[in-house]
Amino acid sequence: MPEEQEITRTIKKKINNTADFFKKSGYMSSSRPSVGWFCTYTPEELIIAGGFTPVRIFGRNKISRSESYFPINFCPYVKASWEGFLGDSRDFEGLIFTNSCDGMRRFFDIARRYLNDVPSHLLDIPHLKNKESLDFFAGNIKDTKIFIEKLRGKKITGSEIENAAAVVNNKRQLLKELQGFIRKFPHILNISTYYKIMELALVSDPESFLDDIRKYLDFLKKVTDENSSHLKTDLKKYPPIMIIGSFIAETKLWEILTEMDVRLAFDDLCTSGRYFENPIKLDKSKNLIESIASGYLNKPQCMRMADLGFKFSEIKNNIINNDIKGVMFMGLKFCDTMLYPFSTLKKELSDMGIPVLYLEIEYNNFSEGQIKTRMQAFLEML
Amino acid sequence: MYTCGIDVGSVSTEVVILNSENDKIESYVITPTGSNNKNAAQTGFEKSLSQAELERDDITSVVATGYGRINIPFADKNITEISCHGRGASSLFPDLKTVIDIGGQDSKIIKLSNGNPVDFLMNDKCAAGTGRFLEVMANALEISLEDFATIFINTNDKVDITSTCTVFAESEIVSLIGHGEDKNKIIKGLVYSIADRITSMVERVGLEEQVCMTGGVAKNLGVVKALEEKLGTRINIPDEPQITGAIGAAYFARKIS
Amino acid sequence: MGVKDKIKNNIRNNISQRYIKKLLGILSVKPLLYTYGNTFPSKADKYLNIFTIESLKKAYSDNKKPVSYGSIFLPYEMFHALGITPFLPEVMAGFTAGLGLTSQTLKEASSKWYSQDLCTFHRSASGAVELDLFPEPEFIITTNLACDAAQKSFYIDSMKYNIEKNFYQIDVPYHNSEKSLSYLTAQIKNICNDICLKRGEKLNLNRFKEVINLSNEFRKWAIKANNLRKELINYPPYYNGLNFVLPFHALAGTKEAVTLYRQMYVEFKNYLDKKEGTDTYDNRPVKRIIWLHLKPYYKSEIFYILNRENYRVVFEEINHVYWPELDPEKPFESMAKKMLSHYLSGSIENRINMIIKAAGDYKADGAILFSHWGCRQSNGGARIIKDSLKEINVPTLVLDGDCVNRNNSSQGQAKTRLQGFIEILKS
Repeated sequence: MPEEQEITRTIKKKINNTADFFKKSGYMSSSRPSVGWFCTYTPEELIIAGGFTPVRIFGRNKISRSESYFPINFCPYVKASWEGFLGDSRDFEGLIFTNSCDGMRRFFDIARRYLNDVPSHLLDIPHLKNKESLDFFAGNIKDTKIFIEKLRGKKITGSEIENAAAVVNNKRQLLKELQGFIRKFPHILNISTYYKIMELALVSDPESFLDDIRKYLDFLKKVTDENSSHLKTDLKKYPPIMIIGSFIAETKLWEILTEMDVRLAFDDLCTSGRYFENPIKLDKSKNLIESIASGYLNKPQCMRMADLGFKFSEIKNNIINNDIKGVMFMGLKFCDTMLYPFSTLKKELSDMGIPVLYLEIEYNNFSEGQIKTRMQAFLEML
Repeated sequence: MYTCGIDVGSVSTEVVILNSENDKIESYVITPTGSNNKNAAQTGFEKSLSQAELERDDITSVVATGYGRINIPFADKNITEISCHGRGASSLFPDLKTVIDIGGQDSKIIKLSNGNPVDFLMNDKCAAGTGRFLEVMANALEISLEDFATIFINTNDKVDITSTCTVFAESEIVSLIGHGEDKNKIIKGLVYSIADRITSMVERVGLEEQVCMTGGVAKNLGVVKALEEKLGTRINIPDEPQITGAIGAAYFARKIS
Repeated sequence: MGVKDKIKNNIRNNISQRYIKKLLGILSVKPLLYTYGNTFPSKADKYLNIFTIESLKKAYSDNKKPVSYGSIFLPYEMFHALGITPFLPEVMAGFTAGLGLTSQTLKEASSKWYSQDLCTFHRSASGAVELDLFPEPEFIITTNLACDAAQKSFYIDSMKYNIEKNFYQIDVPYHNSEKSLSYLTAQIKNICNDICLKRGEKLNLNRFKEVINLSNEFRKWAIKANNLRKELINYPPYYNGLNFVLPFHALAGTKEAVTLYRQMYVEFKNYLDKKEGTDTYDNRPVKRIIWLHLKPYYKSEIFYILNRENYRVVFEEINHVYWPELDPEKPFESMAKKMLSHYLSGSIENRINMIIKAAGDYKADGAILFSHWGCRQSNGGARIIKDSLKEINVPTLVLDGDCVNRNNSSQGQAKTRLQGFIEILKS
């Protein structure tokens, strides 16, 4: 019915016009000083507790000068981020690196040597998940806390951490709600919009973002409830797919996916699910730092961790639970952590009868035509 | 009733008009793509109409494929060359399981089950293993590409070309010529090197018989022979391998009308 | 065609695990092995070859001793104390290059979806595992010390052999601190206990003591040999320090390592005593190079060119004795300390401090960093290393190449770069 289509179109337009909702959020939104971070094993709670805005570095710069600091075949996310620091990028009070991988380790080295006016710190994340590694990680998080206290010139109190943890948990829960919408309404909520909001969540002043996303989710709920009869659609038209990747924040890629009839039923990215899937349980019997350490260490796993088998079963469970019909594997180019496991993952998934599309993403240097053809062909295949 | 398939590739554009009643190809046209996709598609379309002695209105629907498939104004739909090559090739060889398509800038392996793609692989941002690779080498050797097949078949010995990168391979060849190596042996080595590259792609998706090769490079019998040797299987070649994608597109167009 | 080339050809044409076993069976018969060893003009090379073949024979033989894969920077003392035979796939990848097998192993890896962008040491090793060329392991031990590639590819190997439960990753912390030491010590101890438990054996601390003592003995001779090289400019023919990766790491804690490095010391001492004058050779001035990272393990002209131009590699990073003397009473803590003191662990400063000290100690005129394709940890530090050496007036050449895959770089280009660098050093 044309009238029905018209209503859907209007709603879709409103929903995907994020500028109307996220007025307070954005890179430059915060009045507080910011601390930059890179890897989702970094506890944002402590940055917020210290009175800073945690800003995840997205590296939105085209790589050019940074080529002279890193080899050609080196993590494009690291290079793009470094390019930002070389340029006129916003000021940070401090930077928190992690030893997540070889790329990050060398990035920290480069930053300390050639960017010496910004204090930087490295949080050591263990590769194992057991009692000893948890204690060890908690100890390292304490060092991170001390770093932040030095930046601030004042100690961080327990209640400050508790308040910050509540804010971050809130953010996690609301992002998960948003994920619920993209699963249910692939025809009105764009994949582009979804990831735009994810990015805002990672770079904005947390309280402002919470205000914005609450309003947005209220609107989503309202229009989808009110128009439920109009918005009914044949979901079969939208094959449920899963995206697996690391730091994938390629705007054009999401635009391509948006144009296709596909349902993002699960995403295993550190710019999305791996960021928000771990509410921190503040256990009164435990010390705060230990609770944070345990929450982060046990969140959905990055492929950097030692037990790849655990990661593979995580993926397989998510495929079964979300009735996934196809997997798009997005390896960041030159990312050893992702590229080695793919050889085995491909085999494991084809044993399950799940087709996999393998894409190597060269961050910020995207060959649209090639990727589009592959994605379209993959969906035609499904 | 007729449908039309248009494959707008990086080098050439192919148009096929297909009779829906008897699956007969009424006409086909191969024309250089040049710098304007739309013009090439339009010109090819008109030529193929006049060759088939048909009017625009006789065509019920048009499907575009190939890297320039988007924004062809008179196409009703666009479908990727992967699906189209699969569909086109299996219309020619019904028991097909593997399609090797080597075009000007892309090479791809498509795995089929009952004529439908179930897996595929495309080359990365690199000309190694594509028609362009052979073209660059033919230029460096100052020998026309058409002669490659005869030379390949009539030469017994080969010189190993170690570089797979187009740029490195070109300088390697220049230096081999400089050292007075026999050009024929170099050509034999080159053809094997492209066959090696393709073989490793085929192995990634897994070889299943029957196999067919499409795209412009399939016309180069030297490459076909070398590939048959490396893969240990016979390779089917369509009468006109270049139009396979367009044939597939024309078949898909039937679903629209 | 010489005997060695014939053997190489035979391996290439008969590539299979059975053939490798057969060949090792023939080669490792004592008289033949020592006759073969004596074909090497240098004592160090003789023992290198003999011990390498013997250690491979052990790994490939079907006796009761369990085989464990290990990545390069492990404390191999624990292997020898536990009585498990180490097998080092990364080193074997170097051998695949030397034997001309990489076109087969890399092709296999590529058809199994290992991306071409990955390190060829690990890719070639994975290809060999897929081709079933390596002995079947009972355990796999690896570490994140130095690089990410080993931990990932070794885990995949453990899946291939269905021994994920016997896969151990030693998680080496970033900082060398008390906290890190106790975390690491506990891990090493747990792994040793776990392996004993699985083998139904008791942890034999006396055996650890013996092995640690042997390791210290080897360390002493290695330091002495290195110290001579601070003066030495003339080397036994064909000697190349970059060939000693296997004994330096995997034989630490064995009598063999002691023998080899003592012989190396004696041999160097003889050379030094014979040659007077330490800065000229053939009446031409000798330039001293320190070599960072590894080298191509296939035939390459790099060292021929350096020698011809009267350049000597006087120090290789890989032969640096980086660890303090181990305490036989505290084996686990000692091994943890060994790992934590590695120059490739943690920050690049650890590596740079070591290099700068070596550049001074060995009176370096220049440094060559061989930039092995896909080695992120090493190449990612190239800029800082170059800048740091510049501050002490040591020019550095970052030489792009591939240690394993000869087809991945242009030999002509490498030669040109090397020549250019030599011209700079001369000017």
